[in-house]
Amino acid sequence: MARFVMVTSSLAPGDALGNDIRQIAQLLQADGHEVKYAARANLVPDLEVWSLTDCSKRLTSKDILIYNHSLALPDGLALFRQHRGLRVLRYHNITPAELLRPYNTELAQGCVFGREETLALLAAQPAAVWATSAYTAQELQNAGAKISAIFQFHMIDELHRTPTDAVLAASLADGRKNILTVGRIVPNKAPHRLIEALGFMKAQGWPLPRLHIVGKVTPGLENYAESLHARATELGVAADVKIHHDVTAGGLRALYQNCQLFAITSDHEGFCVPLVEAMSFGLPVVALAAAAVPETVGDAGILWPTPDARVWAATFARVLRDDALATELSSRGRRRYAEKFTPEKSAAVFRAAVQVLLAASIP
Amino acid sequence: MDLDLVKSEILRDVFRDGMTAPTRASERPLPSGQAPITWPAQVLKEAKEAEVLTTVKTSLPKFFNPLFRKQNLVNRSLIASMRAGADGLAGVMHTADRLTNEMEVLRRLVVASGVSPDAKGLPQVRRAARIGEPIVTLPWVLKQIGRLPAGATVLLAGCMDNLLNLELASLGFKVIGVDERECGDDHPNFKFIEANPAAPPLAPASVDAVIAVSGLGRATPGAMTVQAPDEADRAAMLAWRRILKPGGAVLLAIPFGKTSSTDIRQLYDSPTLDALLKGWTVEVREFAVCSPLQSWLYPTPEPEAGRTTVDKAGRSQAVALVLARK
Repeated sequence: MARFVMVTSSLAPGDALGNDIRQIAQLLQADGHEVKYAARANLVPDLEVWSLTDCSKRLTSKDILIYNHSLALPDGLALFRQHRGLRVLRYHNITPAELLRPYNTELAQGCVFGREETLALLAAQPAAVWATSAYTAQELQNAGAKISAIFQFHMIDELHRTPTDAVLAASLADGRKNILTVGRIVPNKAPHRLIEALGFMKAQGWPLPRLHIVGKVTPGLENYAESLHARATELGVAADVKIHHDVTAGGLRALYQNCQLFAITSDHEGFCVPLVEAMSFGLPVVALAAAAVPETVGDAGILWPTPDARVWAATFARVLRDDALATELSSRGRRRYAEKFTPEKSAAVFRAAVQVLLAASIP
Repeated sequence: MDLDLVKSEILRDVFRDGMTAPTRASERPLPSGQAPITWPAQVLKEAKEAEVLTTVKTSLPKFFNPLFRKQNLVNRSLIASMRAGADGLAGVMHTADRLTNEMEVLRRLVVASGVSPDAKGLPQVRRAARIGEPIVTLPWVLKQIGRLPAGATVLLAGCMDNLLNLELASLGFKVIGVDERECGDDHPNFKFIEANPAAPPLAPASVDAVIAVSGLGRATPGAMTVQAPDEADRAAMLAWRRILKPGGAVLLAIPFGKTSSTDIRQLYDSPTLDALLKGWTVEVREFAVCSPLQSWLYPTPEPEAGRTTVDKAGRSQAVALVLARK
């Protein structure tokens, strides 16, 4: 049995990156392997995590290093380069800098550095490269990488098992329709477009749903989060936009169960776990056909190539009033989840990738 | 159910019937007592003459007013928050974003736009601008430019985020700006080429000088690279050497100081600078440093510049200013 060391910039409960890493670790442990974590920052309680400095001292050439790359981490890159054992590049995604630049030049610069580090990581010739989607795989292939496997883990099963927040659920079941979007509140995910669409719905005099925006504010992008309030006020829909920064798992389940539509207007997604969560709950999906979103949604939702607020407003109105369409989208979503994204499907791909990796480690 | 049919029905509804645009609060009259900002007549007159001036004229109040209320003009998050509310300033800010110091280019744009020097806030902007490298590197280029023949052909490696292209063109130099995005400048002596500034697509021995200074773009040696800066920069130096005429000059401003392997930005020190300039005839090798009082001081002895480090934002606190000939 081997010892795997999972290196990442940060570990946080509830985010897609942290969930993916924890799921990989759990599968490896279930198969009898030892797993260690190393991160610059750890927010997961009761989890032993090495600092990157400690990691560099403790790594041996027998360890298999899985490097989770999602942003610039120079000391992580140094660790990856110096490791003499097997190295795996697990690429999540890095936001294109131009999407962040208008709001925070330093974060944008970090993305530039992150992309430069991607090239440096590939130049170090990892034994395997694991991507989260065909979209992110293509990005690496364009840089000359050979992709070993494509998979993405999530914790949807756990979400389905979590007790629903009954108070929130009751507040949603008041007869009014609700639209949900989930994801960090950042410019590249562009929830402001949903507020614009709500503004158009109001201007037409159509029944106005509530819009629930669920997501944490990224440090350094508080200005964008604040701009959402300003935009909602500007359009006269402030009372109809609910922003949930710290929703619990039970609260999230209540929202998935009691909203009537899930919408994503993101310009850049490496996979988009919330879309899969929504499909697993049978929530009709409307999404912007950008980055990895089309391959995640497939034919299970309404995909628009444009963020035009008029089109989105009309789509929301149609889905919310057309029960047959909503039912069709709901069943398509559940079917797609069952066919493509159950934990068992991802685990099978992952285990095959590990087998290939371990075979390569035999001298 | 055919979703494509559903989508076509939605589009038909949108575009056949049209949709009423929402009424925005900002389009409503201002509350009483909240007077709109008035601009000097001269500014308004000039603003009509060029679109960029119109942008500056309409957007500066939005951008600067919150800055005036807060004293920390160089607080980056504050600047970013201004950005979020300054829709019309997007183009200007996009330019500013790519500079080492946004305030410097803003100051230059304000001055170039003809806004009264007495305009509220300009002194603060001027003070803020002094902390960026461009406050010393760009004037240094102008100081050295006399070493080039009059009317020389000059390549600006990275031309989007500065006014140097127009300034040199206005002085009679034939300026070729190379950048990965259109800079939008227009002058009879200025020609723009969309390309990688580190590998300009020009004929061998076709230019008299190449200028690559901090704040001019990504081609600056050491500016953007994290790993092995010498390799990428040596490649750029070779590419520039190829297009220079015999005796042609390269003018460089290079982040200088000491760094550790964990610093996100790697600087040049004396040995690596020597290596970069190997094979060139160095005519000017000078240094400037940012003092603890955040003013740039020039010239500064090389050993003193070599003792500086990067600040928390990854900015170098010293710069090597080099004019070398082929």
